[in-house]
Amino acid sequence: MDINPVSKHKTQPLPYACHIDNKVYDYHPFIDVDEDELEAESSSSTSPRSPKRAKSISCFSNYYPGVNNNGGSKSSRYTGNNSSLKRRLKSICVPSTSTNASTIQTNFSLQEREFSFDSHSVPSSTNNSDISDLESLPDLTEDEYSPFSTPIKKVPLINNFITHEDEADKTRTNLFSKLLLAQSKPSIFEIPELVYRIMEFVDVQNTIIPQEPTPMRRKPLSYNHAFLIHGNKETAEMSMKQSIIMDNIEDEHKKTHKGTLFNCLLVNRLFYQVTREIMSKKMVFNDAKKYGQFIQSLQHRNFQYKPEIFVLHKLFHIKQGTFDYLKDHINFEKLQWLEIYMCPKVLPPIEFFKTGGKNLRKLILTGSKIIDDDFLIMISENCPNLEVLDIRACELVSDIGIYSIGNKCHKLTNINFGRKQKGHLITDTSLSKLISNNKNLSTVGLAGCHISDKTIWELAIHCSHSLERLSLNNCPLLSNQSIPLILASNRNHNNNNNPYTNYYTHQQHNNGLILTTNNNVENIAPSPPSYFQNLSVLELRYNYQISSWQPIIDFKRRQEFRGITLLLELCETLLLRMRQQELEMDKTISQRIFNDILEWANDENDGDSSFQDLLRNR
Amino acid sequence: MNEPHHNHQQDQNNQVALKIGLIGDSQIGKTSLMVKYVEGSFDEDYIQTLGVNFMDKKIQIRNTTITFSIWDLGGQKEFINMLPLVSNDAVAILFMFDLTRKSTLNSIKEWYRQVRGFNKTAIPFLVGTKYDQFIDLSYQDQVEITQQAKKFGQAMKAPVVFCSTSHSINVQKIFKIILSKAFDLRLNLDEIINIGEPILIYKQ
Repeated sequence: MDINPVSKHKTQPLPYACHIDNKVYDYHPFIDVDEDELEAESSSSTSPRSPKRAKSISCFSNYYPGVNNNGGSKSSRYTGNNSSLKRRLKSICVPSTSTNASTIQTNFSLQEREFSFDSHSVPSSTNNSDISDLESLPDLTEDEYSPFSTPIKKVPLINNFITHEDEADKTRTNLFSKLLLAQSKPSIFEIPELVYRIMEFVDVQNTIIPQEPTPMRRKPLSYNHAFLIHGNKETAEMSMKQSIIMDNIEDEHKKTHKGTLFNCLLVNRLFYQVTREIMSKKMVFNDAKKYGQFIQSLQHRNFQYKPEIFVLHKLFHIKQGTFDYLKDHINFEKLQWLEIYMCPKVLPPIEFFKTGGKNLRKLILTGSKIIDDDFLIMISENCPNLEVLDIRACELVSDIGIYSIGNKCHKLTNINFGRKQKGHLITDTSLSKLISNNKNLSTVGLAGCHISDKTIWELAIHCSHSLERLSLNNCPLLSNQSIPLILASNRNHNNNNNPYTNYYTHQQHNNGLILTTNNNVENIAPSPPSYFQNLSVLELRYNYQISSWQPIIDFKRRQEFRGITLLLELCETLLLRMRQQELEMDKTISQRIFNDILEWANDENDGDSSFQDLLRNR
Repeated sequence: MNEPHHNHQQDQNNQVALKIGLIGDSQIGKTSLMVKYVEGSFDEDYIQTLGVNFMDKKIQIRNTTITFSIWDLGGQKEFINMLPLVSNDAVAILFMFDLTRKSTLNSIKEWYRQVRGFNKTAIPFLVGTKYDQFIDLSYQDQVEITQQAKKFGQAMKAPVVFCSTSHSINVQKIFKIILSKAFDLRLNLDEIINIGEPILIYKQ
């Protein structure tokens, strides 16, 4: 068939093999093979229609000579391909390209001398698995005369370059390639500053500090809950499934993120130095075994680490003793981010904070069974610049510790004191101190704490503009006198109306048309709420005592009108309550709209003239 | 419901927006009707619509703002490819014809077919224009056209309205009927069914 480019070029071997081969063979088995042959083929191991097979064919150029030889009849060509495919599969197992290279080389040398590929060109452009095999072999000459030499060969670059050119430009590019070869400028991989930059990039791209994923929404508590949130079956089911998928993605990240930087350590001396410098800034462990190995290796090394980030992620069983080694070998002067996430049995020693406490901005000590008020008092004395403090589920902590933090730390933006048990230990007493001293709080987590409406009003007064996320799940002392009242408060402050839209939206097209608009009625912009203008997440699960939902719904709609989507996290009962309230409100509003419309529509004096007048005056 | 703010809710401004498409042969007065309704003015001169015209009419009734987005498609055949622009998402489509040219009424069939291809839910209206000239036709012609229009209206399940843009007859009423149909509200307006009068049939 003429669709197949192979037949076109039968007499003239293609000079640009490395580009064309992919396309040629993709279509081949599907187009050229008769049905009989298909049947014969399907009886053998692989089906010609399976995508797997098509893919394996498409990626290989050794196919090429086989086609040329057997090009005459369809059936023989096909079997020829098949056999060459098998040959190819074998040749991949052997880390050598010699057979492939030679066949291709002869093919090209027939036509054009200029394009007889030399030995490095073929593996570089045709078969990636082979070249990586070659690369992994130790290069003995490298360290002898140039310790900082680049691992990248220049040659394949040039060959790629040639193949892109027109035939007319052949001589020119040949010349150019010779020039390039003659040059011996230092590669960018030999300049330490650049390598440093590259490594930084590799680090940013590949190092994932294990963190609890922040989902768009919390996982629905049940299918019914999901159904209430999303309103239809499909998305509800999706959301239940999606949370599972998200978990999987997280796992995959854990598997894949390692290694890239470690590989860079092995390249050459320069790479090693630079990479180690970068790696030592971030010390992240999410595997107890590796942490143990690291601790042991510290004893033999004189390199002093000065990490900026130190993270222990879910090392449930590590012991306090390991910190003693760290104390001696690691300098915590520059530490900015200390995270000991779900490692219940360890407490970072005071020395950590004595030396570097001033730099510490982010302290995450989630789920510790040891952290107590004394520890927090020590923190408050040593770390005045703390911005993020996350001590979720640290159930020994009480008002005493938090008061001391609130007293000494004035730069906090994110706090999370959420807990499941012993909520009575945290009350308004400590939080009003903390809030009045920290007026830029943007994320506040107080789930399970026995705070009253007072704390929320403190937040409204001091942090109204900065507050974005507020979690008040399971706060039993809250009542209708805080959240609903605060969110509704703008109404009391100004008489301006706050429309939200019932828009049946339409797209305004603008492709060269005459667009005229008439604004007889001024557009009434919604007035921003008095408090919490930037609030975008509000969690109120299990607060059954809150019964006034209308102000909350109004607030949500007003925020939406201002372009801020408020995410309301509610449990099933409360969500149901809110939905009913929404429905009630919509009904009232619709009724009002209908009444307004009816009044207008039934107004006799509408501007139309009477036709009787027209008939009479004729 | 606990209502500390209930009385405040009266302040709330509600918005309703409706898209309306005007369809029909050329020179029957689609643009004129739109301009008349939106700006209250009428211009005798004919300006051919190239493609699509678009205007917004806002009506404030107490706390409700109603916005009619009126889209008007040029009647020449070459603009038929812009039909989706006008008919997609429209709440109502006015199929318009010239009461003094029978051929424009005949074309409605084809326009209706075309529009239904894009929008199966819009409320159809059959609107005859230039009623002020229509009354100068012979009685025979008036009977023929009126009866034909009524038949079309029944077949399309569409209200039938004869209007005169230049003399402001039944212009406002068209949009009142649109709104009452869109929200299924009861209108007290009397129907006009006699031949020679500007027909206004919208109940059923």
